[in-house]
Amino acid sequence: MKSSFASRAAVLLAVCLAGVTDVQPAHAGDATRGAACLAAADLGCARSASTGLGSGSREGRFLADLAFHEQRFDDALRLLKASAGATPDAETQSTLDLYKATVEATAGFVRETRGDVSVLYLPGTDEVLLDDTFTTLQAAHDRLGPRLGKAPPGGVRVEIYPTAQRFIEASGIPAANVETTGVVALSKWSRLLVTSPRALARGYAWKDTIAHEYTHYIVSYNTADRAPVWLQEGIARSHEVLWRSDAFEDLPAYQQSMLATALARNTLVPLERMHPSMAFLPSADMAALAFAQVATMIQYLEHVAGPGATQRVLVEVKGGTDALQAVGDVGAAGHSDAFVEGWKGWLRGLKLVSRALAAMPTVIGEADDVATDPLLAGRQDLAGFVRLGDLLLAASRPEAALVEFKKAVPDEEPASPTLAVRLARAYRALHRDPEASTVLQQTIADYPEYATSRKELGALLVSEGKSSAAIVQYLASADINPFDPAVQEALATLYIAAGNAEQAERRRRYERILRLGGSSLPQGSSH
Amino acid sequence: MNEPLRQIEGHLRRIARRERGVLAVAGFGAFCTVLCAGWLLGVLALNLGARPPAAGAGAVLLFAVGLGLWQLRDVRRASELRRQAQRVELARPALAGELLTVLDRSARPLGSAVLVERMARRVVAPVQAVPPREVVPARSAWVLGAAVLATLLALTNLLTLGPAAVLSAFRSVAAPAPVRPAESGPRAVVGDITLRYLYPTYTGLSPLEVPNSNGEIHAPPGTTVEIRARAEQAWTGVALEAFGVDLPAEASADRSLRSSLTVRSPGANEQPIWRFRFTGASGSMLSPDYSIVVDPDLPPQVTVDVANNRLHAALDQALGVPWHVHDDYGVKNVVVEVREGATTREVPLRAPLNAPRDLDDRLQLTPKELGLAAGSSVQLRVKSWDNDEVSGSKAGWSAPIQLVVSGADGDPGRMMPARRALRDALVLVLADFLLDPRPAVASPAEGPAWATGANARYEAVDNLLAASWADGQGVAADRAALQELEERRRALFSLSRGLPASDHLAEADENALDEAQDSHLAALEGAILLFDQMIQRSALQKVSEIADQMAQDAERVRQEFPSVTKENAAQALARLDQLGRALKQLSEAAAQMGDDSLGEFTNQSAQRLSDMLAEARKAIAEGRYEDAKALMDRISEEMRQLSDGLKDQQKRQGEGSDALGKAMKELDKNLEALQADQQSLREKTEQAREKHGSDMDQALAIWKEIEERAQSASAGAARAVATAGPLGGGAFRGASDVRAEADGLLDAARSRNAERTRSRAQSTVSEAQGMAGLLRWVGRDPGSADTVAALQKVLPPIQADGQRILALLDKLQQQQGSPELQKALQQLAGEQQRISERAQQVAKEAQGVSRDLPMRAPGLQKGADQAVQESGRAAQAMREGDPMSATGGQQATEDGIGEAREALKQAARTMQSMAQASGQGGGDGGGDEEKSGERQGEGQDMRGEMPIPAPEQFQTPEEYRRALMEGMQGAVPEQYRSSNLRYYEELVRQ
Repeated sequence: MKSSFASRAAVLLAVCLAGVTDVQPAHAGDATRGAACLAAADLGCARSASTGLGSGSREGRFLADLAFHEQRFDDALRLLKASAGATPDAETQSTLDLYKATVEATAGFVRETRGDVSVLYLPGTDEVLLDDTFTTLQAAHDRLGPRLGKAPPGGVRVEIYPTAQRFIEASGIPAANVETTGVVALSKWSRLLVTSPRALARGYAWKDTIAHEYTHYIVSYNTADRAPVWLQEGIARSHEVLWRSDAFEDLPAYQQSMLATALARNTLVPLERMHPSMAFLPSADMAALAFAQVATMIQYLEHVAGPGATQRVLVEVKGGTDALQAVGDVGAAGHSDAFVEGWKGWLRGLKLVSRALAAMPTVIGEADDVATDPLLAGRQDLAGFVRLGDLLLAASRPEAALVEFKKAVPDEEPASPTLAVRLARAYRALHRDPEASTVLQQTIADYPEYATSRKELGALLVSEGKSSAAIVQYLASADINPFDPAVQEALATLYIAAGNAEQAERRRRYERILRLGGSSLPQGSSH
Repeated sequence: MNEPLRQIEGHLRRIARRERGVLAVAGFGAFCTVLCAGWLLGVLALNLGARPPAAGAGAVLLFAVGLGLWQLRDVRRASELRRQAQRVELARPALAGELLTVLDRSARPLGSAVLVERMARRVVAPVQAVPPREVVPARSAWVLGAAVLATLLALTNLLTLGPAAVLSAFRSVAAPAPVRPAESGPRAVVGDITLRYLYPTYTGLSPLEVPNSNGEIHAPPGTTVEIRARAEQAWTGVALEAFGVDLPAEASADRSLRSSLTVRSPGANEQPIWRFRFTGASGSMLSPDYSIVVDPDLPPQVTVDVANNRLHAALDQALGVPWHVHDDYGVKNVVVEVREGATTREVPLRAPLNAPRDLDDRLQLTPKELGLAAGSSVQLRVKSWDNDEVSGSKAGWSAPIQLVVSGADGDPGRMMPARRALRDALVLVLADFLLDPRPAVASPAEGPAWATGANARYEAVDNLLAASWADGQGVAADRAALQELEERRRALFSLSRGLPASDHLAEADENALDEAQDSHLAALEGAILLFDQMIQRSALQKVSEIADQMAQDAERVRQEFPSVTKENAAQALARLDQLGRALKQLSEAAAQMGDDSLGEFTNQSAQRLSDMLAEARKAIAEGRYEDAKALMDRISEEMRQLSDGLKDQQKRQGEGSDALGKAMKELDKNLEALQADQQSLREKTEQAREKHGSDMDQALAIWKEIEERAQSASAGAARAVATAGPLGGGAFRGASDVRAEADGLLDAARSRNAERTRSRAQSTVSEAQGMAGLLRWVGRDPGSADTVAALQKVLPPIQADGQRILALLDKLQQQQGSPELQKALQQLAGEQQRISERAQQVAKEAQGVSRDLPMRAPGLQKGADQAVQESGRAAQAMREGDPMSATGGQQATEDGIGEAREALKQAARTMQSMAQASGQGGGDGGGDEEKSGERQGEGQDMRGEMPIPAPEQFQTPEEYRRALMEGMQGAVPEQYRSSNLRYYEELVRQ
């Protein structure tokens, strides 16, 4: 459960835009049926329908759409232009604009395919994402598909956009929506559109995010896209970690904190309010709470009904049963109210974090530490103390720096991960490593997506000779922000020390990619 | 005597009479002329403050009489017939010798009488034909007579209107001296003295009646003091002596006495006293002497807020120098005096309509608008005239400011190296102070040593300041931060050096030292953060500009080389070297950015680009031209991404500034609306009090006196601080404490907060008493005796003011409003409650803005908090039917909001100043400032000829007036505030 709120919001948009279509087995040469297959996220069905088609405009349009779903953007644009004629209608013109924008957004992209996963990316530093993208999506394909029914046929197609602007152009999502809700990834058109963590100021848990998006794709495929928003997000949110883990993970501390508060005050978000999209909830905090609710509902479902419960729910939903009823059928012997009550009771039994914490802001583009901090972004007065501490630390006056950093500790507000890292640096400069370690452990528990704390703790562990533990922290840091050459270098060194030449070489390769802006010299676009 | 001779003599006597008359008129005219001249000189001398002595008046009289007698010296001779005969012969040469012979022979008979008679008969007709007016012309005499008459009429008026002292001086010469009782003799008993002060109109002071007075008069010149008193016994006559001059006085049968005098500055030999002089059957007797203390109307005090009184500004840069003028009774106008070489000129700044006692503004003119050129070095002084109509308007000047004018663009980046050096030096100073113990010393004895050591920490900073900041360099924000730091530093060291000798630190001293350390640290931190923000913004700006240029260059290189071949390899290498040099510049600029993620991103990108350039060169050198081309393409893309990333950050900063600017605007709008609504409600409350609370007049009068007493105490305390300065240490701190309490007392009195006023009055009295005790101890040092003596004169009036206020507060407690008034107030209480709730909301907004501000603005939150507290107090007072506390609370609410707004404006100015220093537009910056380029043009328009609408353009005079008032009250950007006020001040005068 490490992916950002932004990615969840993105998915909701995809769900809203997709129509609910009852897909029947496709017949060859049937463009209408093929279009329905595409709408139901069944690419295999659509491909079957595409064989032996006539040359009419409907057929041309379907083939164009199929090409678009298959990441053949130049073909899609050409086919659509041909079928649309000289005076396309408004809807077709809109589609033409999207295809054209996608062609431009993916200019210079190259394709790499490994197993069931095909990745389009811009050669350069984003090459450091490739290995993990393939690993993650292959694992998700292999583990989540069977767990939720079956993986969609035709493999997994993903595009990694190097900038937020390119993502905006290709996704068709209004820029304002991306900027305000922080949408960074999308599952749509049988493809996964992902923004490179490089495009965000401090990176993000991009691997879980692409797994999350792929989960949406699986759910859509296994329900003929009949799953409502809350169920879609509940399953994606809870299952996004299962590509690398056998069990669900705890919610991030700040979401636990919100959930605990809402439970205590009886201010949970009603499921009906999550429709048509969580992105339309009145506040980011409410949306985060809603995500926490639905994710824990699915966790509770599997807790009471055992593994496979979610799959059974999807089957019922595909069959036309109301989603909540389906959950009640599977989780509470047909009593949806009892299920909800049971879920609440289960939540109360959990030891949820109760201290005040805030969500990490999603900042697109480059930004300083203050802008990306959940506390300091809104407290310039406290940020001033942090800056003074930085200056003192740079002047080799750590004891004085510590005084300033402590002035920035708020009385009754969420802690600041930026400040925690600064405190740890000051402690370390004063040779007070145990205190530095405590501060870092705490902030990592609170804000696991803050890569710098992981890196700082990794360095501390190295100095203490705890190489294995240090590797864990550096890896966690690289999972969020793989573009930090210092982290890659540290990992390479640690792996060499640990005798793991393969991993050491991999990290050296990444370091070189980051240093030279790419591993291999560009050979031109493959599409 | 024969008939012809008799006729001749008769005619000659007529001529003689005429001459005597003419001579009399001339003599009297000369006498009157000298007398009038003496009178006028006396009046002039009095206006200049001299005392016209009786001897002087006597001399004038003697001179006048002498001149008159001299003019009459010929009267006797005029009666001589022979003289007239000579004059007739002169008029008729044909009679020459004959007329005189006739007269002589008739007087002394000699020779034939018949011949004499015959001669007489012959001349009688020609003599009688000579008219007397021909022999004695009277025209000049009549002219002189008319002049004398006119002078007498004028003199009559002067006698009634002019200073009585002059008349008295003459009277004392002309009239017999009164019987004066002996100075050393017994004095008549006088009691129940009531003084009623009628101040000159220009002071704006209301009449003040002081019952049960001790007789001492304190007033500015021109004040008429009506004196009422009662004598112990009945007297037949009474006069008032003031400044040694007798004035009329009335004595009634019931022994009551009544007189009046006008306060003026005493002359050189005059005693500034007044007393009654009684006359009775048993003789005459004087009353005791009572002092007349003239409170001089001093020239305006003008202060400017410029560090070291040196300023360095660009030609088009608004100087932004805050100035303040204070005058005892009113400020008439303010100008800025520009002295360039031997020439001095004045540029008008303000001419307020209502002659306020305090006037604040900001010198927003640019050097260009002051008529200066780049490279000019001039001296500026803000000059103000007061509104003294009695002694004449007097001017006061600020300390001179040395202004050095640089070029038109102001070179925003010029000071960055100096800022960096200063920031880094200040950081080291901060480190030491942060680690100081609290309080800094354990005992007073350690104070001086600690202060000396702590001051030494500033050595590097002082050297930098002397080297690069001495002549007012930098922008206004720099100067303000440095000045604030200097003041806090001085206060801290002064306090620690002057801790009163004792074995251990008293709790009060410990707290004071702790507070001073906090304030000093806050100023130090504020200065560092300010410089740092400017440095970082400037660095980001510079890096972004270089990156943008590099991205364009890299793209050109990419396009210029569709392929790299052996033929163009050398050229490609040269272009890569070019990019490499630009990259080096970028790396140097990036080193100035913070070491956070943005700095890391920039440095990493620069490093990556450097590696890629090296790899591309290597590829060309090795003949791998395709690889080189691919790398060149990649460099172009990487450059573009870096440029975009930096632009993102700049955009974010700009958006942040804009959002903050909007929030500041919104907050200011809300504060302004709240202030206006509070003012409106206060006026309603006052109207209700006037309508239903006639019995509150006395309470109002009491509060007025309390405020006046508090003002007096505050002014006295300020004098005490100024006097105690040379003593330093405990005495200075003691005086400062007295002043703090007295100022607090004045604030409390103005806000009509009875509880707080009482508390402050008690503290003021207590502090003044404590200070007096301390002075007895300090006074043992012979070197301090004079200062201590001066202080000992200043303190008792402060104590007396405090005690009087306490007595007045007791009296006030007995005042209660009418039921109708209480009801009216309770009806308005709901409205006040809503204002209080709005104040709470606005205070939250103020807190939000405070947190977002890149600099500290303590006044913003403090003022908003005051508004919350005082509006709540006003609501409570209205519910309880207490109109005085209610209006006081309302006024204090308005003041608090005013303070918050001022802090907000100051923050906006600092933001603008920071942006200016960083070479950025400054975002919204609170919305009050414009970019300098725009400001210049508009500023010139505002200072030039301003079209003033004619009253005829409005339907009615009321409409015209309303338009003027609305114009004056309208929101105006800060830099145009002065111009706006000046515009309307001129307009209203038309």
